[in-house]
Amino acid sequence: MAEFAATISEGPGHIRVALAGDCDLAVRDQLSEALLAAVSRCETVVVDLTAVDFLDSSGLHGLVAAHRAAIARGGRLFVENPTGSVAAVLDLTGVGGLLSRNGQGHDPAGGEDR
Amino acid sequence: MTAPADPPAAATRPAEKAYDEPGDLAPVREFVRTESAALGLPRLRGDLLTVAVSELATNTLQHTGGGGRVLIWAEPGRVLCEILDHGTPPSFGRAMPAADQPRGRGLAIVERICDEVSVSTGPEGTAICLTMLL
Repeated sequence: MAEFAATISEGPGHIRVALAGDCDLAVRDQLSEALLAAVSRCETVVVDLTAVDFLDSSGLHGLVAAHRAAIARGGRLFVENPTGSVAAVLDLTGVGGLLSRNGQGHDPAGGEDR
Repeated sequence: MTAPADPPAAATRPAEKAYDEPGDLAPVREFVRTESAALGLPRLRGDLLTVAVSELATNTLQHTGGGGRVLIWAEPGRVLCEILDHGTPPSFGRAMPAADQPRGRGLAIVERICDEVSVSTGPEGTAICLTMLL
């Protein structure tokens, strides 16, 4: 039960948000703030889920809301490295496919959702 | 000792955990993870049951203005988990929202994860019983 944390770092052409701990109702506002701040700063945001132990619909809400904010600005938000139940929840809701870099094909010039 | 209401020999007494605020959700999840493992659910199945319980406890906190309780126990071939609160029953049976919709997936996630979901209501509120087959 690691405490929730969002660590932001800048890479070439993208911002990486490394999340850690549990993404639930208790940290919903913190999660949304971190993701929306990243989306407002850079067109490409990569959310690293390696250290996320738990994700439910509250956490998905933050990811999808930030995805929509990114699309509205002509950008993208991807998730990477989900494991265990986090990967299962992303998969069974379809959100994993929506936010997967691989699932969207390699189309750096595109960037528009259908 | 031999009262007719005795549970079957293979059943266990329910373990119980209460929750009243968002900060209680993490301890509730730890409780479900630990108990479901002790009752024989494999790790990922226990983690998924934990997601389902957390969704329902979150619903309690967001929609009933109060808290609730989680009970977990085993019967032959299955682990059962009951979430009790003082609210009205949630509306199960809805499709999973489209991937780009921000809201409305909590109950659909519960239904995808669990082998059975049943709802009962009484004067005290609502009980949602989740079944995970072993």
